[in-house]
Amino acid sequence: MLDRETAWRIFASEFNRSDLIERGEEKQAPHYLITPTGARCNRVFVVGVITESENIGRENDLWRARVADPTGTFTIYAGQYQSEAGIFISKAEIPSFVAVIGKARTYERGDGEIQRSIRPEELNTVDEYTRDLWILDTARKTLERIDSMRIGIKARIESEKLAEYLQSQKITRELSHGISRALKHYSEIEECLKRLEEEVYRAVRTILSEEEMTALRGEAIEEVIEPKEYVANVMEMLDTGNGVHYSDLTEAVSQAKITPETLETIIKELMSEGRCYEPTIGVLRIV
Amino acid sequence: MGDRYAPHVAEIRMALGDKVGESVILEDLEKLVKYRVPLEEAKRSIIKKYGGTGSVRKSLSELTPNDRMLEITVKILSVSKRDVDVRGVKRRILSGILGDGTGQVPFIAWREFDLKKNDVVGIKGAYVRLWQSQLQVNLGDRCEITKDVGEIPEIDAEILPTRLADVKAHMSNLCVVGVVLEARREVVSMKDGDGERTIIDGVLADESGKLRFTSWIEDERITPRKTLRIENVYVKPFRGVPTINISEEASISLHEEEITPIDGALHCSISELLKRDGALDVIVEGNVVSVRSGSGLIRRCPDCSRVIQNNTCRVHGKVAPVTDMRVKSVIDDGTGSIMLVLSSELTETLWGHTLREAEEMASKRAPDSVERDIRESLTGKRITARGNMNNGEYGASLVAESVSFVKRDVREEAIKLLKERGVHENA
Repeated sequence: MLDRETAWRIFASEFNRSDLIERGEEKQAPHYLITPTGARCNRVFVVGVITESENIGRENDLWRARVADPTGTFTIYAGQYQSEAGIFISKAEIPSFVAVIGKARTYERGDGEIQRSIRPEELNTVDEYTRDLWILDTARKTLERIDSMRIGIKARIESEKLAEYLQSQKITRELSHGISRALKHYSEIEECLKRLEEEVYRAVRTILSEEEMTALRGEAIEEVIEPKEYVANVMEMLDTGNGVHYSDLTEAVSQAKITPETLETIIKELMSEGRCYEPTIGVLRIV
Repeated sequence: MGDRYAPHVAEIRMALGDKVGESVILEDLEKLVKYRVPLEEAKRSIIKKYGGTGSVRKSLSELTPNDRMLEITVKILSVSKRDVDVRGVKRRILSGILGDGTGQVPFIAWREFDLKKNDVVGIKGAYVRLWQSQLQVNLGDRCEITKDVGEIPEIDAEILPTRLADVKAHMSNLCVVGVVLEARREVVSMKDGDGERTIIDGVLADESGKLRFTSWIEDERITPRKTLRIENVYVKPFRGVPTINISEEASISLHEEEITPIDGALHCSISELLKRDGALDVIVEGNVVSVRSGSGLIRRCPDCSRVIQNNTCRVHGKVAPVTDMRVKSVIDDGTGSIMLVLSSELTETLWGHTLREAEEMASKRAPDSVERDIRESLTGKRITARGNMNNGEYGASLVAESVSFVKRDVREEAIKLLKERGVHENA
């Protein structure tokens, strides 16, 4: 039995930045779009808001719809062989939440510009909750790919051997292959990943209300009002009986925007106050 | 030109013990290569031509599926006798596990060689093949076995148990270690009027997963909460899921070290699950990406439960059909996809309508309206399913025992994700 192509979770902004196409040698070989985070996708799964629909066909029906996620818009085309999808688009309420399962398609215009679209296999009306779950799922998977790409960049290994190395770093075979291709193809990749990462966070924040965002910011600020007490608390929390490694502590408090320099000053203070000590070099314990 | 072949010529000379001159070998080799005989085959045929055995000494970790004329020094970790039918002739064969310091491999001996457990032997002329995607050393008629191997290398005597997650259908001579979770004794009558016999059906678990087992022998240690080490078991699929079989050939012992069996069902990604031949009690989460035709109302044969068309069963002919309801769907979690089959009861759970309501709907509206309604209520939705997975020739499928829509606090998870990445205070 032939393996079914996995449906990749990709935000519109990443999808629309993709211009690396991989075609198999044989006639019927599937066609893949490799995104800047190394997703090598033939099939995608998207949940968004349908914002526009139009029949742009001349003799035959060709329905076009736009489906927006928090980062951008997917274009969907349903032609005469996707008549069920065409009917769905023609009747869809605008705006409403829709789920799209379909094939990633590309089309090269006369001027060399690549247009990306989805040819739907399944379309369905869903609720806001399903959309929010999709944002979370897609965010986690995109961040995972971004992190994996960065491992690939850091490795500085030639592309033939990179896929093998990435697999040794517990990255799946499929993604490792996609990453080695993406790294070779996309230019200014680090800036691109940074922008994509920011877009992921913005997308996740859309799930939260204004009050929740304010509360979240407030909570974060409150935490560092008393940096010394905060560090002492973290030290106590991390200590499971054998003390805390300095490096672990540095990492833990970096999330509260405490720099290694500030941390060093705070620890010196805590030591001089007799509140913590260093049983072995690099290990700290609270008294 | 000769330089290219120099290492191969040297190898051939070594195998022949310097009996034949370099130039003769080179000439033969070049001729064979010119005829596009693969190099390995060419080497073998030259060695054979000049009377060499051409055996290759290897350690078990170096074996590859096409090794021929193999020379190994190994310890017999387990061995058992079996009578088989080879092309109509009854033959007694041996099977078991060989080990050396580098690994362990199952073996099969096509003659009743004098091999006992814990013997350390030298074997010449063995060959390797893939049997059920597992390497297997074969000892054929021409194989030579010597018990006097001189200095015995340090050989790891323990058989390494196979993790339950790695157990594949049709494996044999396997050793497993696990905790008995369930054990039910049942008296069955034997096929050929051989009287009655007690068999034990149950579930064994380790930290990687759970599997069903059937013991054809009575052993009081096979009882819940006991941790057992069972050597020399074989695996057969039962309803598509690998099942461990414990026969007279197996040896059971209580396992000293404590192991922590997985608690409840195994949560795993679909891609992880697809690596297995089958699995008992797993939970997967994914989106419904397709509701297949053949979902909704179906008719079954009253005798065999096969799905039938036009009230005709392909085995039982014209029958009075039984109406049933099901969902055949594909779920995908972004790592892979798997077929998910829901019974009438679980269809009702997800879809929210009973079989009776479905029948009403079908009679009032179009006959395929039930399937369409199910498709509209499920496609795109995220669901969790728990059940047994089988991975056979028709692809992988999960037969669900329970299923539900995912219900999680998305806000809480959004906050958690932002905190994990340390970006929660940015606007």
